[in-house]
Amino acid sequence: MRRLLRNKLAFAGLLMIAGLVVVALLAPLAATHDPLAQDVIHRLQPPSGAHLFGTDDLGRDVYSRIVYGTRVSLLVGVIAVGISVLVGTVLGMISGYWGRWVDTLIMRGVDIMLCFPTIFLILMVISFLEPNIANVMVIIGLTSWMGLTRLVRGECLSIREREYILGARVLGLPTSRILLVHILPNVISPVLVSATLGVGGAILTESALSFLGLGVQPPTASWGNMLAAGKDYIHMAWWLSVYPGVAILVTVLAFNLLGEGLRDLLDPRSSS
Amino acid sequence: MTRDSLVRIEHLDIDYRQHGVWVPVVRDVSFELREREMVSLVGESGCGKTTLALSILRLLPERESAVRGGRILFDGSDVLRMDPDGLRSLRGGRISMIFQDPFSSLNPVLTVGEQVEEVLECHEGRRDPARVKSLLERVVLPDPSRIYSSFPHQLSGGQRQRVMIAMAIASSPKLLIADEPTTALDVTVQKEILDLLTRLQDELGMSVLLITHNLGLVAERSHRLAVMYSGRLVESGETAAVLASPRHPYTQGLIQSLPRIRRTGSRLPMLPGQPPELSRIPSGCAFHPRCAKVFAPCSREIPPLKKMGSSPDSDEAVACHLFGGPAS
Amino acid sequence: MTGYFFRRLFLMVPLLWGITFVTFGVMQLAPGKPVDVMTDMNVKMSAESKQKLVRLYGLDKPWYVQYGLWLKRFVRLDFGRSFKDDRSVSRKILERLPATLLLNVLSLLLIFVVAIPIGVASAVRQNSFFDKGMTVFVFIGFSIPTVWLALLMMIAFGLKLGWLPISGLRSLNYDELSWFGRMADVARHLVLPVTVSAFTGLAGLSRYMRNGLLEVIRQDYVRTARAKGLPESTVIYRHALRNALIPVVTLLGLYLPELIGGSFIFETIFAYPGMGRLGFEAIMARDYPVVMGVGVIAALLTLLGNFLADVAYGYVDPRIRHSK
Repeated sequence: MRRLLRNKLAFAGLLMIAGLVVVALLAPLAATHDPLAQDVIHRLQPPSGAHLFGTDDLGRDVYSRIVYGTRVSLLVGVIAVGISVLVGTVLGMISGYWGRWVDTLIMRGVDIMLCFPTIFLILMVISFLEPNIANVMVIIGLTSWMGLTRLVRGECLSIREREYILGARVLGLPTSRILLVHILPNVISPVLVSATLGVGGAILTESALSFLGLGVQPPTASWGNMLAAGKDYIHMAWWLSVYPGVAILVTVLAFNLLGEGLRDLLDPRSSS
Repeated sequence: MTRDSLVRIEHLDIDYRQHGVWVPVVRDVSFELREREMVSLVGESGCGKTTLALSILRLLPERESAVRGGRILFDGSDVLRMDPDGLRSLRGGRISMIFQDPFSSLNPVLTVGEQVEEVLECHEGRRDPARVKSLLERVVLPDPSRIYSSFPHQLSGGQRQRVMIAMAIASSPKLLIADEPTTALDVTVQKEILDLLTRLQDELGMSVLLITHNLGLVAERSHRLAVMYSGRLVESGETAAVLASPRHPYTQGLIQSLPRIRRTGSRLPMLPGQPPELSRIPSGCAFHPRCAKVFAPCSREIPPLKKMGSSPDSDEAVACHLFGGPAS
Repeated sequence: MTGYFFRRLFLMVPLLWGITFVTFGVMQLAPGKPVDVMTDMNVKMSAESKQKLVRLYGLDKPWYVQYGLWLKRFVRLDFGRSFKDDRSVSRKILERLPATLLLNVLSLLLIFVVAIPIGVASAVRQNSFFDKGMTVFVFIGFSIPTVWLALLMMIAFGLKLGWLPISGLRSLNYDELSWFGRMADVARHLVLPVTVSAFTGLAGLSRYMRNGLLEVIRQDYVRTARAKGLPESTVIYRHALRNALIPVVTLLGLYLPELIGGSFIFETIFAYPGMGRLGFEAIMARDYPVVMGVGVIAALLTLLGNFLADVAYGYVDPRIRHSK
């Protein structure tokens, strides 16, 4: 932890994430207006004292919508990555530990999944289901586990041959115990790095989906659907497009900084 | 037999950066290499012998190392003060070097021919496939035409080291530095490579600095011997003389731990302990914690390298408090 | 090399089969078998198109029969007819494919042509002002929402400065232009979509190139090259760079699905007449035959890209080229 604080990148990222979490938790306090309250008379107002980031086409306060959007982005990022970590780690451990035909099967599955452009797979599935926040999280999670599976499998393969694992197997410890007690702790570091970077990716995917109208649906405020709403007014109301984009950039940057910082800390090979 | 001096190293100090902290790797090393002579530099891994060798060509990694003091004179000019042009004509021209691991020292994506030929191109300004093939022949590689167009991965370890030697002798250097040239090879190949080096040294009239941790390997080949421990020179002299009557307890330990055919059955006395970590070099004589003959001054004072022997041109020197002769 | 080539080719067979299986699986989500539950809520789906769907995929038959039928049609790249205009799906895709290929090939070119020199310059001058600036650029490149970047560039270059068109591939007066004028017109239309879709890959590859080259510079054979007295430029460009470029070839296979995925978004934003927009519009209109067709073609393109990357890798690495 002390080393984490010494790494400037990771520390900056951590600080930014902490700030975002506070904003998300205390959204009702941080917001100046009701994010859903429409005020058609004061629509498309430029930023001012009353409306920090201006108002949108329905007269809603852009600042407050961005504050509430933090909840959506963080939630989608964390849950989607949680799903992909769960699927990726389990499949990766099975693949790396059992090997043989199970391994071949899972790895070919990964190869096949990687053939599909993720965005299209997501668009396709979403179009068949209903676009809402729960579906978005699940589908992003279920289409982003492949890299993690490969990573965990690789770690597993190298750990499996170490002497203490061989020893545990000779002693007849049940496989589940070997996996949980001896192998899982060893794969946590690389998974943590990958997951942190993955949160940023998931937030970007959500914003793209919402931008295309297949993600979080209005009137719920998400940074992506705010961008979409702003698109139609780009020549007269720049604030509708600029602020949500900055919010996404800053949030994703925070997770990427933390992820890269963690990588430097946890992987001695990549220290440069 | 006296010869003209080719390389003279004076009071060389080199530091390395480990985890952000500078640690001493080479300390106060003074050393001379004469023309047409083979000198062995012996010591356990981590004693600074490779660093010393790399510093002669200024090949030390730039950010992780620093020469803190001293001079390296080659043919009278200081290598440490050379401009990039002078350095380039030195490297691979008048001084060449071969490395420990022939598997990683050749570029995997260039053919053997290209890699040998670029030495000629660089130092003599011409491409000359015929010369390259004759060089390959000279290092006893079979079927030079085939080797010429081969990639390194198609050759064995011994063959690759021969290619390295061919590159090293391409521009008839005055000095060849061989850093553990046989460590990565099979025992039978080791002798062949060393025989080749000895023969080429004789034929080309060059000097050879042979760096090794294996005293047995150098015993009958090199003219002189220098022993390093923990960054310092602890003993030097004519090979035969040092092997016959080693003075420093460390040298004695190294010689005793050599396997000998006559004494089969007797246990090999090993040097107790490990060489110190660079960040924690013991006070006084760095060897004192492992030394059987340790006494009062050893942990306090660093023993200076003192000249031994009666004649003024004697080469023998030792750095040990057991030998309290006049400082040289 | 021949053996390597055929091994790679052979490895594609299970992948190809897998693609059919996944696509078929995704199709099961389509309102069809649970037709009524889904379609009742889906106003966009007319009774007529529901009937078509059932007929097309044999949705009234058991799933293995359906899969068999689907596979048979897949082999002939027959994806049925569009619900929207009743035209052949393969034909519709074929019309749009060249524009998408143009966009993606240009983006790939841009990525490789720009990112490699940036990465090399950063590595050669590690920790310099330039290197640090590029590190910042890379972080932003990874973190920027590309839809937003597209919007910003449309505002800046299209609306404020008025330098570039922000949609389509041709101007209205395209037909009146000379041959050269037409080329210039298309090129101007391509600038924004190509730049935006290359952006993330550009950041990624320049980082990869920098770290790869730094890794190679630490190798023994680079020290050997220096020990030979070669000029620094020869050491870097002849010895180090060649080795650092080998793994870059495989990235081609990684970037392709990213780029094609991006096509769905950027072609839509820039109203670019390619396969991506066709697919997106089909998704919005619930034109399932087109959706499935585009999905399969996109996956096949990726597979082809991976295969080409593997072959290129075998070609540039002599350790593979000269193996049996």
